[in-house]
Amino acid sequence: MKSREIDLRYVSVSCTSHPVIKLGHALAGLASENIDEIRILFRSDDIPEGAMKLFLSKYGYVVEDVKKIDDGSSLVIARKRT
Amino acid sequence: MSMSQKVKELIDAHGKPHREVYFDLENSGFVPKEVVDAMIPYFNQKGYGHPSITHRVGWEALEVVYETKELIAKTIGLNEPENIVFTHSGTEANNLAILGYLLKNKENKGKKIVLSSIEHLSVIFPAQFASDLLGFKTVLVPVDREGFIDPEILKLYIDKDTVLVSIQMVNHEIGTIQKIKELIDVVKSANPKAIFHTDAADAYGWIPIDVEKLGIDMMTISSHKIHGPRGVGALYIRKGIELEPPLKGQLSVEKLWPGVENVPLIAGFKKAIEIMFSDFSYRIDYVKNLRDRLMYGILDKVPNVLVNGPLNEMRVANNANISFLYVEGEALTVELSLNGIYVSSGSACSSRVLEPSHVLLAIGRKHEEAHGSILFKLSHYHSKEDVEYTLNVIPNAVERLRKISSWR
Repeated sequence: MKSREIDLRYVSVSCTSHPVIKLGHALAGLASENIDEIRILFRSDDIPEGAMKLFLSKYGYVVEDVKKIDDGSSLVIARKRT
Repeated sequence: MSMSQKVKELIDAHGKPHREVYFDLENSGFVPKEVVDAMIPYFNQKGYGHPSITHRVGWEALEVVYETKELIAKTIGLNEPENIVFTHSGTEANNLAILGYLLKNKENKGKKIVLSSIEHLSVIFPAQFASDLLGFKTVLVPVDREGFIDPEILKLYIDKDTVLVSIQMVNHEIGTIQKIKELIDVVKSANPKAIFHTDAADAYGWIPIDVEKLGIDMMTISSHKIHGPRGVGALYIRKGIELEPPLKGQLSVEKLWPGVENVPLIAGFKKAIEIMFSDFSYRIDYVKNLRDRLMYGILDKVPNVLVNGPLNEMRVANNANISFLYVEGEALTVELSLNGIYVSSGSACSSRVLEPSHVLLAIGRKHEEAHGSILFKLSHYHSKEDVEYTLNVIPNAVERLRKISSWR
C-alpha cells in the first residue's frame, strides 16, 4: 500500500504559498501517482474539517479518521475510494 | 552603463520584427486610435480643469466623469451612477474594497475574510495586510482543477465571524467563469451580514453583468482590460455599504479615493466601454472563434501541451492559457518576442520574481507545468491572420527551445 503524508501546518503564507494552495497542488500530484492512503496534518483555522473532507472526495479519497493533535492541529487519514 | 542604456541595448539587439501580434492584454494593452482620439481634447482643449472646481473647464471635466459613471452604471444593470467610484487602477479599486471595508468595520462585525485561492494578488495582499494590521484572519477556499469553487465547500467556510468574501467573477490567468450567483447565495444564506466583493476586471465587457440581479455588494472593474488606457479603475459599492478611505489626501469628486481624477483617461475609458458594449454578442463570438482556433491549433500542432482552465463555455472568450512542457515559459516569451509575438508567462505579478503562478499551483499544476505556461489574451482587434501567423511560429519556437532544454 502506498501512503503519503502532507504537512500543511507550517506552510508559509506569501504570494505563491499557502496551506490551501499546497493542498490543491499536492492532491493533484498524488491522485496521478495512485497513492492509496493520505495523511494530512492541518489547522482547521486554515481549512475547516468539513471542507477538507469534501475537497479530498473531489480527488477520490474518503476520510477514515480525524484525530486532534496536541498543538491544536488535526490529522486526517483518507483512503482512495475503491 | 545605466539601466536605461542597458534596456536600450536590449531593444536594439532585439530589432523590430516584420510583423507584431500583441497577446499580453493581461498586463497592459495597446490603446486603439479611437480611444486615444477621445482622450486628446481633455489634455488641453476642454475639461483639463479640476472636476470639483467651479469654472467652465472644471465643469467640462466633471461632465465626462459623470457621463462615464452613468455609462458604467448602465452596463452593469444600475440606474444610479452615484455608486461608482473612480480609482487610478483595478488594483486600487480592489484595495479600496478590501481595506476600505475592513477599516470601517474593524470592530464588532466579525474577523474572518474569505477569498478564493486563485484571487488576483491585489485582493490577496490587502486582505493579508488587513489581517496583520487589524487582527483579521484571511482564509483561502480551494478550487478544483479547472479553477471552480464548489459552493458546498464555500458554505463550510462561512460563519457568523465572516465579515467579507471576495471571489473573482472571471479568473485573470485561466479564464474560469465562476457561478457567481450561486456563490453569493451560499454566502448570504450562511451569513446575510457578510459583504460579497467580486473582482470583475476580467469579466467586465466579456460576460453580461447585472449587479442587482446577482446581489453583488462591491465590484471592481479596470479600464486597460477592455482596451482603455492604463491608470483608471472603478469600484461599484452597493448603497448603504460604508467604507473608510485607506489613502488620505485632498478629496475631489470621489469622497473615498483622494487625488484629482485623471479626466483624460476617464474619457478614454468611456470610449473603450462604448466600443466594448456595441455589438456585444457578435464581438464575443468573433473573439471566441479566434481563441478556439489558436488554442486548438496549438494543441494540434505542438506535442506535450496542456490547457490550463476549463475547456467549455465556462471559459471566458478571450483567454487561452497553455503549458508547454519541457520549456521554460520565460524563454518562450523571448523566443516569441523575437518573432513579434508578445505574450506573458505565468501571472504578471509572479513572473517578475520567477515564482510559479499561485493560480496554476492551486489548480494542481506541477512546478514545471506552471513555469512553462503562456497566457494569450485576445480581443476584437486581433485578426484571423494574426492567429495563423502565431500558429506558424509557435511549433518551431517550442521545438527549438526543447532541443536545448535541460528538462529532457
